[in-house]
Amino acid sequence: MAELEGPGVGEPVADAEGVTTEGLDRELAELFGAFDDVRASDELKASTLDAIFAEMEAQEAAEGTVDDDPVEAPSFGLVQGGARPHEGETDADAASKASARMEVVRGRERRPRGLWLRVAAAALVITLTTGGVAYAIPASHVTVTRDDVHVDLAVNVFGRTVSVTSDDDELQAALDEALVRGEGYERALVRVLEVCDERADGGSAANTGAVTVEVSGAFVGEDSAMAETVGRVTDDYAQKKLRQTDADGLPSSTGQGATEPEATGRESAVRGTGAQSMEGQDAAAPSSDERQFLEHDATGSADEGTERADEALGSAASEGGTIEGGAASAPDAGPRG
Amino acid sequence: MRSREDITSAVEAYADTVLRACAVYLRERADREDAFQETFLRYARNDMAFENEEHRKAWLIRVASNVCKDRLKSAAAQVESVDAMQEEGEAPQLMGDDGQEAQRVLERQDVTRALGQLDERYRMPLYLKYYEGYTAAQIAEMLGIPENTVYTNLSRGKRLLKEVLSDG
Repeated sequence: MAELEGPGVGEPVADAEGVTTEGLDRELAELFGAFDDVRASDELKASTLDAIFAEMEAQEAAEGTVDDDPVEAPSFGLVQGGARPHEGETDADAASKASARMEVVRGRERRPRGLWLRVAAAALVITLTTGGVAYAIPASHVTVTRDDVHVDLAVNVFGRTVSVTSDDDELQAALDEALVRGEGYERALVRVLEVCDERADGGSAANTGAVTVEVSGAFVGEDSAMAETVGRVTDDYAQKKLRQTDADGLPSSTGQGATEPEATGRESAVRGTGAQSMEGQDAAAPSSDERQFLEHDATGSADEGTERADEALGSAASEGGTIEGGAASAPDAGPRG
Repeated sequence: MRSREDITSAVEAYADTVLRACAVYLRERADREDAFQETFLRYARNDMAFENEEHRKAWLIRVASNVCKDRLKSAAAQVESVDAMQEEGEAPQLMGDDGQEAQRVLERQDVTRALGQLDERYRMPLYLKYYEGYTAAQIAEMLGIPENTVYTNLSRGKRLLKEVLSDG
């Protein structure tokens, strides 16, 4: 303790917690005096300094700044270099261990710091760049056709609408206002169908004929989830329109609200105009005239329809592809005019 | 890297302090000496300027403490018993010149052994307070823990130490 600064053993020690008595503190301070007997031997000091200076010299040599006349490490008159052997060890063993220890230390020094940080940053940049590119590039297309007017939804791999284009300028303007870009393709498709219907109501676009929906893309097959989803969305939309039409009474125009989904993977994934499944729909209770019509339609379109489209299209499609919007009615829809 | 003169003076001045700090944590002599060397290696590599000698000493104790904790994590080393210290000639002799001195020696052995039975979080605060004489605020700064934690650790450590000593 002689060379240490600050209060020593036996001197009054500040009562840190203010709980215990001074007597106990003094007693403990006295007992801790056992550490007086722990002293670093000269050998330990010398071997420590040797190890440090050896590392310094190695570092200087590596940097090419080694001193021609290096200062000799003090030997304390006991050890002339090398690690001090522990009990049962020879000088060679100790030197070997010290050398291994220093190698570990040097190895740690040379390891580039922040390597993981750099790798993580690079991975982040790559991920963001790849993600950005993948987001901007369309992977598939959903094409809605109604009376020779086409609307194309370009969809990226994340299912987001990258762009929406139409060969009809007015429809294009309406779609731009509808802000379908960036939306999920399901929502965008519904919006496009709505816009198409609104346009049909307005009379600027052809308001007769069926609507077809096609899905195409490099990764879109007949059984792909996207084709399935597009079919479902289209079906749901058709049913919704039918319910609306029933609630409003007679359809305002022939073919309005009738949607004929036709999803194609490379060529065609979902196609159908059949209405035979109308009979199985719990919400529909067609009148005898309607039933007759449905049977006729089922016969006429059974060959080309798929089950999905058949289930969805509650409305009956005529042979020419026109669908009577009010064909399927809910029981509570009331009498038609 | 620091200059050789600086390193040499630090080793000469604080070798005992650092070795004692290592002895608080590590049981084996070889472990203590390895920790001792690593502490001064870190000192040599560090270019930090110290405000005064007390600052330098506190830095060395803190680094020694961290080095020992790192070693404890990788090896189940424990504080050295007085018996082991005696074998290596570092501990006081069991018998003093008279009965009173012998009793004191035994008490010292007891506290060293008892300290080794405490959780490591209590050891260094107790050592720093009762041997080095630091205040709780200084210990908190040195160990990088809140002052209230130091008070708590001192209080609990002292109680546990008393229990261990009375049981022994």
